[in-house]
Amino acid sequence: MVLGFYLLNHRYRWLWLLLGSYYFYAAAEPVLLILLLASTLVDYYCGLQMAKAATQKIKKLFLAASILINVGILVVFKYLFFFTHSLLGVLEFFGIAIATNDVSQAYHINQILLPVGISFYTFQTMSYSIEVYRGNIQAEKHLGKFALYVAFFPQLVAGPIERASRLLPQLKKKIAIDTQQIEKGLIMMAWGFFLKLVVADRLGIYVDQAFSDPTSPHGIALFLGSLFFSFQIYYDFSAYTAIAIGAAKVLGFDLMHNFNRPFFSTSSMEFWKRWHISLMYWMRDYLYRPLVINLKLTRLQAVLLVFFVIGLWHGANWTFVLWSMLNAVLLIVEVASLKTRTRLFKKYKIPKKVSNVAGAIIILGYLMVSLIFFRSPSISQALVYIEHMLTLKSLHINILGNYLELFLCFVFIGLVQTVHYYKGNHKIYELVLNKSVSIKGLAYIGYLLLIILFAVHRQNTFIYFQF
Amino acid sequence: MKLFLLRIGLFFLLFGATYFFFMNKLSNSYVDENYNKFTQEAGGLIIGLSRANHGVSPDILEKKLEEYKFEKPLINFAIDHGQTQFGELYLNSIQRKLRQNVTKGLYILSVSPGSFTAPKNMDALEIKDLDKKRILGKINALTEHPNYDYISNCYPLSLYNAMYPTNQWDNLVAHTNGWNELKLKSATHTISKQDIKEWKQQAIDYYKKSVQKEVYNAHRFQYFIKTIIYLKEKGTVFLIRMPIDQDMLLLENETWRDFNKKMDSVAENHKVVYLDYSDKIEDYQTFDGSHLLSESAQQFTEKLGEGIKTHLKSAAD
Repeated sequence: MVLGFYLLNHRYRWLWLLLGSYYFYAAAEPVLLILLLASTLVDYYCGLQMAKAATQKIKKLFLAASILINVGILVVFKYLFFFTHSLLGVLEFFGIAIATNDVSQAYHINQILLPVGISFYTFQTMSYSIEVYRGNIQAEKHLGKFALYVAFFPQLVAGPIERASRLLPQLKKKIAIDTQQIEKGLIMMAWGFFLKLVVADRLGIYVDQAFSDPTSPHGIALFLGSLFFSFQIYYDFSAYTAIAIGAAKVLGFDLMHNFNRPFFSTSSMEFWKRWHISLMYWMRDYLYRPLVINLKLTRLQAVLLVFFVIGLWHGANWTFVLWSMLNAVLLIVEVASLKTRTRLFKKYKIPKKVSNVAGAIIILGYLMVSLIFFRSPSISQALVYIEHMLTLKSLHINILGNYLELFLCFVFIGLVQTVHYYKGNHKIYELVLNKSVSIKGLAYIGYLLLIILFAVHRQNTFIYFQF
Repeated sequence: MKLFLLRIGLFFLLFGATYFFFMNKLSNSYVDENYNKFTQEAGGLIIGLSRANHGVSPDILEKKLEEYKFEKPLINFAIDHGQTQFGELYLNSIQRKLRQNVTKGLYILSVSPGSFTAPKNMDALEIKDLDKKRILGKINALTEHPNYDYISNCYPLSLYNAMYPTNQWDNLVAHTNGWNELKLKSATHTISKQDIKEWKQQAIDYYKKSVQKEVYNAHRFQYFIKTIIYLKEKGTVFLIRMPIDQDMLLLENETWRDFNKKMDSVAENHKVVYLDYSDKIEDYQTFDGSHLLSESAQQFTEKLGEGIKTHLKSAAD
């Protein structure tokens, strides 16, 4: 892909990337490419019509069409079974019992395939339409380049959710070979592979064991299971982001960053500015602000609604909604108690450093508990997990029967957190770039041995692929 | 630029060579309990789930039935944790595992209600997807030695185990013919009565939870029949039900009351023999209520050999 890209004349590179992106997407399930194409064509057409529209009313009409079709695609392909199931549950509560399976099978709802990355690319195309409507960007006239913006393979299936104003101009730019950029990109990719194969998947073994039967281990083992899951999901997702950013960089493109050391956040507000940044910005710009400014909702109402949507965005299950709403509650409590806390800290002369460390621990602890809902198949299962986590029958933590592996989990978490602390999530290449050849050589050989000897052979896909 | 490309090329070359070196080193030592099931072509097969995996020794059967000149080697192709339930993928793997020209193989199909279950409401397509995520769905190479395909796709640990093995339990002996023998005593560990009691309770709890989620599945049964039909063309088929502890047997019989009747009718319809040893546990000892310990597995295989002999003799007469 890279070789072809640089060998080709600048004018044809978009086509090469587009074909490559479609091939990449269709490799898993070719039929799902139709949806990607549909979403692309709809937003391309709506964008052009909005640019040409004589009145604001027509403009609004095309924006509504774009949003309705994209949300419609999401509803049908991601939420139909969930909504049907929930509706039947409500009906059953009122004494009208209809078997869920009968309905699902009669209308083939349960056979609808969930397209990979659907939440990412529909949100990306919607952001384009909204930006065109707002007049912040020009409508893209080149269908091919617009299609590439929607389907650009490094970030197609799990983000970052790119803005057209950032990515489209880059897709048109003439890119010259820059070996330092390529090296930076390769280092980012290597870091991503390390995060995924060595760390996240290793943590996943313990997590899977703890969550597979939460009634068997107790107390500390389950506590550790949920702590490891917090790190697993972070490393897994940031690994994909690092690989996406790296792959794009190798081709000469800069993607936005999705993480900024979230586990060093000292407050919930800070955490959500550092975690899945591209989604949170999307929510801020296209949902939160319109809710507050246009619909005149209070901030509290808007936060609750935004977090409800964030939960649903992650998956068609109430577990995701509950996870998200729990975090909304923390955010609201945090904002509401800010003045009181500041006064108390002042009164008892609590140093800033102490309150920051306490804040970081509280955020991680709260996240850990809320993520139990994210990881569990149902709310009742999550409650069973929490109940057993709080039951301290024994101090047995070695549920894998392998102390070395448990030790390695801690070692790698420590290593990654240290690197992130000093270099952040997106300047990993500074660890080796511009160093002498011998240091670089040693670093590369060290990396090679680390990944070969310690990678876990589990063939796990990235967790966020399911969204 | 040329230097840059050269360095990248060298890095990947070094990467490939180092990876291969450690994979090869691992293949020359203990890989895991299932590796030996995928390193040779088979002349006959022991098929089923974990009970057969631990409970039937191919060596003993081969010796016991020497006079019948069944094709060799007989391989134990049954895997733990429900990895080898009957289905399209298992049948396909059996077909590829067997030597192409086999005509006189011996096939022991160990059956229990668990061989035919799947999560509730799963259709054929979903079962196929489920099976694809299991060992047999992850590899293509079933008969290679060394089997790099297995190591790179199914080996659950990291390659540092090639130098510092962490998954080898002295009480479990993984034989080259696929039999996983579990010994009560090894040089480093003795399985205590308390261990057995706890494992049995865990197995019962697990079974009780499983039956709430997993139910009989017609698709699996259909492939069980297809497996019998295929193997009959390649030799002699015996259906067996392994001995298990009374508590476990009671639970199984509660969930599928006429299981033996069903197997008898399958055996009759397809002209094969069904040998039921499920209630003969007084002669044997399990390590968790379901799986035979080493000595018992050997005794049981001897007994099974005698049972097969009896039927072969009566059939010849």
